[in-house]
This record gives sequence, structure tokens and C-alpha cells, in this order.
Amino acid sequence: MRNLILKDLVLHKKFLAVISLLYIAYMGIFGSRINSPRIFFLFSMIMSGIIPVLIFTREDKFKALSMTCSLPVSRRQIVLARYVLGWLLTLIIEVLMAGAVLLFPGSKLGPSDLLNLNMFVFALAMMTAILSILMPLLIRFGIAGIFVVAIGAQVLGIIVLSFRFKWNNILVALIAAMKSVFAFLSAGVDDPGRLALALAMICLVNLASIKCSEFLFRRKDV
Amino acid sequence: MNSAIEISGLRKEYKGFTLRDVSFTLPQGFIMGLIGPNGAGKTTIIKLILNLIRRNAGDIKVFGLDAIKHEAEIKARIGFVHETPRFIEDATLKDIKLAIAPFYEKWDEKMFRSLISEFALPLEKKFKKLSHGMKMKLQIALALSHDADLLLMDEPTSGLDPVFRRELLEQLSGLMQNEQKAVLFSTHITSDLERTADYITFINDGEIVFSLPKDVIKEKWGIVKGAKELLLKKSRGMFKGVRETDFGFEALTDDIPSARREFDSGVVIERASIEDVMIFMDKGGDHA
Amino acid sequence: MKVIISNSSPDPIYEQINRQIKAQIISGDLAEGEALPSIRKLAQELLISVITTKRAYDELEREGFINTVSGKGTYVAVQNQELLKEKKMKIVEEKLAEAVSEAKMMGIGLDHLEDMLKLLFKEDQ
Repeated sequence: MRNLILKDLVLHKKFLAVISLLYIAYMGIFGSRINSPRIFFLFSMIMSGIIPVLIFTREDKFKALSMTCSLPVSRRQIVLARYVLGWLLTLIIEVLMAGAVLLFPGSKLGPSDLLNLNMFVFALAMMTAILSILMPLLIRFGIAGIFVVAIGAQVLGIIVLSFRFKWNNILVALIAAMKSVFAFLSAGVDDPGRLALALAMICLVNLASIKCSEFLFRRKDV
Repeated sequence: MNSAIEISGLRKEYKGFTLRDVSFTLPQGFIMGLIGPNGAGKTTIIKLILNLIRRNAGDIKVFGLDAIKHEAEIKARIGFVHETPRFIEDATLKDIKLAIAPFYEKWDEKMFRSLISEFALPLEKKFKKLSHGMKMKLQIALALSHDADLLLMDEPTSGLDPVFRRELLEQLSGLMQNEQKAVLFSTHITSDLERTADYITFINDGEIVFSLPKDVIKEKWGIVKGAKELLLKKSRGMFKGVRETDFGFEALTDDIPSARREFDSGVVIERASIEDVMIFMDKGGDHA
Repeated sequence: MKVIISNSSPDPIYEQINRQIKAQIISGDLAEGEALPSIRKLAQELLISVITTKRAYDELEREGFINTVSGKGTYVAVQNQELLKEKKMKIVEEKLAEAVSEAKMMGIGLDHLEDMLKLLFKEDQ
């Protein structure tokens, strides 16, 4: 698996370098406008979560997947390596952007705002949300997977809005559930019990996503 | 004798094409040519062996091991050359080697370097800047640099001149000094196989037409040429493919002695080349 | 060992190899006990199928001309001297038969033929 990660780092090194610099510059210049750490993480997580997605779609664009699958690796290893690489890249780029925001002049955020446990768990949760949904779709549909998400979300929204009266009860319950999850996350994880629960949930969602991706990838013709 | 590849009852369905009932064996120590017209299913078979695509039915064993259960273990011993070489376009050849070599325990850097210089491949150049022929050469260099026990090559010589084609054949011949090695070589440039192939497997329209030692073809298969009147209805049946012109007929037989007896003296019989076999059996199959 | 194969010859390649090696053994160009290239080496040098070379060697072995010691290689077999002499005689006999039939056709008598034979023998010396 280490070889698979190194392979992608070597083959995409120029792309990664350019993106990293762009992101750092961007955060340095515009980061001073961000007031809340939560907004920072929301924003930056989406930005960095896209990086692994872009890398995998690049491989898709060049149709290089058949090469990767011809190497002495199993499909499972390829999927796992993608998740690990995805996390690694997102974390590193996230750190770089956080550094840019903290160090550049005019920043309204200080180290204590970003470097605390609550934010850390929040960041992990965000990353999990983004990667867990995108990865299986990418693996199954390739680049088109992103469009599937975008269009799927639109369609879902339209359906929900059309049937909002019929499904009123269900929708109310769903929204209440989402609200409580949000509240839970927002309330922070100072409590070790909550921390454990939050981390457990994050692990679970990731594992579920990995299993799903493995299943889909085993069936894919490259 | 151990088999390098053992395929039985292989089936793969696509929308407009079905690979069906494919069975053949490549024993260790030999070179097999997989021939057939474009679209016959050669690439599909190779992709199925490498488990790049899923089969609908059938068994594939490589080195005696199931091709799916022992996928990674088998691929460590396979050198592959795909019909269309695809790597990350921006990467340099050096980067590609750097990315791929670690996957193979038996990677031989010296061998790779000598092949690169022999093939005159510029390591610093980006992949996208290479011609098709050079991309194939890169794949070949990579495939030959980790002491692979099986070479799976899909049209490896496409876009390459006869000089290089001969070079490659000589490389393969040198490789075959080791009785543990095997080569499956798919091509529609049959002249590559005329000399060095040990076995020829002919596939057409998704089905295996035959899988024979090349010597059998060389000795028993011939082209019978004669005047049209000689081609009676009952004689047609003995041919694998017939071609009629304004001046006479040409027919492929897999049994020269019988053809000689049947026609006595009125015809010319020449040995069939592998190319003849492919041509006559592709078109002429319907007529006979 | 010299082997030259012709792709345009009507004779199958394994037969050409068989004949050439046999001739060299009979004539003594290939000495008893001399090592022959392995079937794979021969196939590589001639750029032909190893099945072909194996077939040629198998026949030569069956006819008693060569021996394969597993693990060591292939060698020219110790020739049964009587048999060898017989084979050599046969080759010369065939050539003489040709000469005789030509002579008869052209009306050249036995005495003339004998004289010619003596002259030719003397020439070499």
C-alpha cells in the first residue's frame, strides 16, 4: 500500500505543488476576512477535500487506472491506499492553510481559535463527511461521480420540495435529527464520553465508506 | 510440464460482442501467439487474465493459481504490455519508473537502464511527448525489467519498425532460454510469429478457432491453387476457406496430403503462412 | 556445428536440421562425444520454435546419432563403427550408381570408367 501512495505522490507531484502554493496564497490573502474558526474549517475542508478527488479524477482522465490495476496489488489495496492518501493530503493541505491564515498579517484568528480539540474533531467530521460520500461515487462513476453528487443533490432537493406537504412528518423528523447531530457537534467534545462517541462515529462512517468503495471497485471494469 | 496459463470456458459479455467458450493452455517454456482480426477478442482475453475486467463465466489459472484469488501474487511475476499505453501524461519517464519499480521485488535496475539506452528512450521527457512507438518501448522496458515469469503482450510491436520488432523477438528468444518463462503475444502482425512462436491460438469473433503448435500449421496447412472447374461442391467441404478470382481459386487446407490425393496434379499447393491462415479463415470461413 | 535452414524449402525445418546434423556426424565433422547446443540455444540462434529443434533432436536421438544426458546436455553419440561404415558406404554407393547409369546412357564402357576412377584418386594425392 505504501507503494501505491508513493506512486501517486511521485506521479502527481507537480500538480500537488502548484495547488498547495495556490491554496496557501489564497488563504494568506483572503484568510484575514474569516472571523470564525468554524467557517474557516468549513471552507478550507471543502477546498482540501477536493484535492484527493482531483488526483483520482486525473488518473481517470488519463485512463491510467488500467495500469495501476495491472500492478501486483489487489483491488482492496488500491481502495485503501486512496483513502489513506486522501486523508493524508487533506490533512497536510489543511495544516498548510491553517498556517497561512495564522501567520499572515491582518488575521483575525489566533492559534487558540484553531488549535483546540473541538475544532480538531469538527475538522475530522467535515473531512469524513466529504470523503465518505465522494470516494464511493468517484470509484463507481469516475469523474462523473462529482456530477452525480451535484445533480443528485439537486434532484433530491427538488423531490423533497415537491413532496414537502405529503412527507411533512418525515421531513420534520429528519430535520430535527439533523439539528440534533449539528447541536451535538457544536456542543463540543470536552466531555470524554462525547469525544469517544464522536471519534467512534467518525471511524464508523469511514469504515462504512471504505467497505462500500471496496465492493464497488471489485465490480468495476477498467 | 507446468502451465503458465490455463483458461477454460471463459465468457465475457458486452453489448455488441460476446467472448464465449474460450479455452486454451500455454505451457511454461513456450511462446504463444494470439492472433485474430481487430475486435476478435484478443485484448479482452488479456484483460481477463489480468482481472482488469470481470468475467461472466470460466476459469483462469496462472502458474497454477486462481487468477482472482491470488491476483497480487501472480501479477508480481507478470510483465505486461497493453495495447494502449496509459500513464499520467505529465509525468516524466523517470518518474514513471520511480513510481512503478518499487512494486516489484525482483526489479533489476541494471536491466532497465540497459534497455532504456538500447531503445533510446529519453528519461527526462514527459510521457505525453512520446510517440506511440516510444510509449510501447517504455512498457516493454518496464515489463522486461523484473524477471517476470510470464509476459503478457498485447500488440507490443504496433507502431514499431521491423528492426525493433526483430530486436524484440531476439530479446524474447533470449528470455526463453529459461524453461520457466512463458510469453503470450497477441498481434495481428503475423510475421512476428512466423519464426519464433511455438503455439498459435487463433481467435475470431469471440471464439477460439484453433490452438495448435505452430509446426503443425507450417507442415500440414497449405494453400491449394487451381482452375475454378476443379472446385466441385464436394471438394469445398475439405477447405477451411476459399477465395475465388476471375482466374481460378485459392483455398486453405489443414491437410496437405489429402489435398494432394484429391487433386492429383491439376493444382499448385504451397505452404500456408500464418497470415494466410488468418486471412482465409476470417473471410473464407463462410464459403467453405 | 553448421546448420542453415531455408524457409522456402519444401522440407520442414526439423527435417532440414536433422539431415544436416546427421550428415556432419557421418562425415566426422561432428566428432563423437562432441557437445551440441541445447534445443533452446539452437532455437534462439536460428530464431525458430523450440518445439522444432526438440523434434529434430528427438529424431536424431531415436536414430542413435545423439545422446541427451539430463542436466548435462546433448552429445554426439558413440557411433557404432560398423553401422557408420555401412552408412558411409551407402552414400558413396549411391553416387557411384549415379555415375554408372550416366556412363551407360552415354555409352562409356566399364574399362573407361575404371581408368577415370584411377585418375581421380591419383589427382587428390
